[in-house]
Amino acid sequence: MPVTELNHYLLVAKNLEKTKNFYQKVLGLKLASERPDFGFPGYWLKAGQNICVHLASQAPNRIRDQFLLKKHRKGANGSGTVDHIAFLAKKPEEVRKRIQKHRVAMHYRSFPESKLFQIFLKDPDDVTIELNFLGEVIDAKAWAGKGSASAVTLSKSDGRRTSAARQN
Amino acid sequence: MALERIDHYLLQTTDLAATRDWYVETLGMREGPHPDFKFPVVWLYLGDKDVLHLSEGGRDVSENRKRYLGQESQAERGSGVIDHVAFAGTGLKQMIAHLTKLGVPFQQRMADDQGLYQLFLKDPVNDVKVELSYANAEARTADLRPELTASQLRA
Repeated sequence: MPVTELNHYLLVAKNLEKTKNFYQKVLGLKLASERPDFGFPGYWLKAGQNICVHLASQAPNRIRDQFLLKKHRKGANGSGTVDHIAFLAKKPEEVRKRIQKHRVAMHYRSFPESKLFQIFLKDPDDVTIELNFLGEVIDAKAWAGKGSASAVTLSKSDGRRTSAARQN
Repeated sequence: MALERIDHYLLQTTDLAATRDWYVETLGMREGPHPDFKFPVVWLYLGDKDVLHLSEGGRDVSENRKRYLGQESQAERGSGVIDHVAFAGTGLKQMIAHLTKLGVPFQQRMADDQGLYQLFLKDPVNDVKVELSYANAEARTADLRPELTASQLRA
């Protein structure tokens, strides 16, 4: 089955540091050191060996708003701070065709330096779902326009900040 | 008291059947067994693991659902339909001692027929509900009693 397991959820926190402290001190999760620079601040937190909580901040950030599917304004509360739920998946081509067949809009997100390709989509209640294809590097040009509502590639050159470029 | 993994998330929806069908058809999940909570739920699986729980949402949810689970939001669209995210772990007794020491309020629930013992608490910074899920055997060993058991609710 191409979608294989539940992976993480992402909170866009009102107060990034306080939220990190909650997950560390109250729930005992461990800070993961392997978070790539997505061009917006955040943390990854682990339960056991698994990174299962991603945090971002509500502080204004253009790359975050472009990479995630919506603008995050200050003041969101409760489950409204949950931006998306993420799964691991395999076989991106097969998953793309399946989603296309059901006429659901897809958004491609690619981070070649981290060998990460993602498909974002919305469920019928407008919940954002992220599918992570680990180890996959997709040729953004080859995929652009193939049923995608948007496609964004993050890139990072040595010593420079991460930047985001739209393919469509 | 270590939490070991993310366990599932719960979506509340005004159309259980359509939501179930979408996850089955578009993402390839499979509907599977769930405890009898005395309110409508659908559990969706990837492989052998339930990863997504669906329950009734919006304004007209049953009293049983409200008593057992509460309801964080009556939103029918967007991330407000996510009621909670759950982690699984071991060391229930130690977690209860830890939360008590920190002064973090929590509620205890038990879904008896599948042997689940649940703690519900809030991330106080963002007001997000978190569930911690443990094997029922741990609660029996520690002689813990939940405030509410699913079988106490009337069908």
